Amino acid sequence: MRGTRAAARTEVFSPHSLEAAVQLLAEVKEPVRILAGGTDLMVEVETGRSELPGLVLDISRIRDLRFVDEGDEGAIHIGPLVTFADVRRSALLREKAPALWQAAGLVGGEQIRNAATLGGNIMNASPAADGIPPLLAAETHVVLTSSEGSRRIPLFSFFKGYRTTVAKPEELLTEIVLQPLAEGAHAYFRKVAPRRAQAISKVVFAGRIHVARDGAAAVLKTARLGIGAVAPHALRLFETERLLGAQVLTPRLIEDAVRTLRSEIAPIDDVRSTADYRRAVAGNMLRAFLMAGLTRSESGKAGF
Amino acid sequence: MRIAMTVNGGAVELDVPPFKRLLDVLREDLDLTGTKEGCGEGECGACTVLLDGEPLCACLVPVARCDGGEVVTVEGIMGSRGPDAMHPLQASMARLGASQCGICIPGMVVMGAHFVDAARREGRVPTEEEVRSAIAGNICRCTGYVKIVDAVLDAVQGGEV
Ligand SMILES: Cc1cc2nc3c(=O)[nH]c(=O)nc-3n(C[C@H](O)[C@H](O)[C@H](O)COP(=O)(O)OP(=O)(O)OC[C@H]3O[C@@H](n4cnc5c(N)ncnc54)[C@H](O)[C@@H]3O)c2cc1C
Ligand code: FES
Ligand code: FES
Repeated sequence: MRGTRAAARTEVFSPHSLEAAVQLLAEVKEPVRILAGGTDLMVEVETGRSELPGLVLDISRIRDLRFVDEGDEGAIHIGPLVTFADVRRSALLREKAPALWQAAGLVGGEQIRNAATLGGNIMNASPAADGIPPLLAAETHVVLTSSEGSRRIPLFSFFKGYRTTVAKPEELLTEIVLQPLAEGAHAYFRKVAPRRAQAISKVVFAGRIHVARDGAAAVLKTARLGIGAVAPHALRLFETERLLGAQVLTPRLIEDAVRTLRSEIAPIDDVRSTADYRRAVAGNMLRAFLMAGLTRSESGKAGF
Repeated sequence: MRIAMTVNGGAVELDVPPFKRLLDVLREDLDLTGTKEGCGEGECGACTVLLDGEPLCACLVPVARCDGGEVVTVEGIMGSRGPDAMHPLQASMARLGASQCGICIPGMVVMGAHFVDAARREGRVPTEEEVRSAIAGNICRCTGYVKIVDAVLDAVQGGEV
């Protein structure tokens, strides 16, 4: 009922072009809330966590912001209005960004996946967002656009703190650019939550590793790891990646990596879980991922 | 704001605040009270409607987004096979006793009918697991889901034989 009464004084502007949208953001003096799928914003307003906005910029009618393309340079370009249902329908993402594809299938229920956008998932900047760790492991850049032009920022430096980003109020997220999974590399995604559907992650982890065989040894050429719900914002695990880079993959190295990961994260106790549980589970996820990499490479098979 | 949309096949034009939830517009302005409010936060699925053919939570949709769109509510599922004719899923649910208190049922019917229609179009019998995952966004506190899942599978396979 709160929604009904309060909605009376909110104006909604629904442009069809990006130019009109950034123009509005440049010109208006009052605060504007950007609306994509609405699955975070509407809940914030309904629960009173967010004040009802006076002006809403509904970007959902900007057709040019909903695309999945393979660029000439091999990178994958995704429009911010691509929904998690769109991600699931994309054969390109299923093959070249399998962790993101898997994550998309575990977001909400079908009603939520039909509305929730990847851009909204990033901009909402929840530490527990399921779309973000797979993007971190895919070395993603995001493009922010205002009436002044565009800038490109690596996703790992995009988040500043709990639900805050470096984006300015007059900027829109307009493109998500990720690297395709390399030939012979393995991808991993795991979310731990109280139930399978419609649940917020206690820990969410994604990774990519490239293991090459050198005689009897399995050499880990590269590791790219992203994690959520274990710090004020999602993290790329650079220290753990460095420890693993260009090393012979052994059970001992794996245990060192698990220890490094556990000291690199900063989980807290909250309503959903405890810091100890999160630290334990995060380490177990990395171990499971690397052990699988070791086993696959021993049996000489590529791909999970 | 003037909103023009199609609701259950009929053209509707009304003057409503643009940020008003579709859920409230349906119930208060259009007197379509089949669509229920459970949580108001996207969690329960009681407010499920189709917008341009896709199931969404009407509690999360500001009505401005429906301008020019096509909305189907549980009332529209009822008439979709001829006047006063039940959708095969509704018939299966009634026959198999898949409803108890009823608060989740309108959302379940919209979601389930959408799923049944898609499966029938593809001429494919889904697994129980697929049915459960299709209705994962619809919470039922009464039935334990077993009879609802049975009814969906029954409706896909043509209902009563
Ligand atoms: C029942 C339920 C279940 C959920 N389950 C999950 C889950 O399992 N996993 C998960 O990760 N999330 C989940 N969510 C959260 C939510 O659905 C996602 O975060 C979703 O991706 C948000 O996208 P949206 O388009 O709906 O965002 P909106 O609500 O439209 O926007 C979110 C925020 O981002 C801003 N924004 C959106 N797009 C842009 C843009 N292009 N440029 C600048 N700013 C922008 C908005 O101003 C707003 O602050 C769930 C939500 C609900 C209600
Ligand atoms: S009332 Fe909309 S999902 Fe519960
Ligand atoms: S029948 Fe009561 S909640 Fe489903």
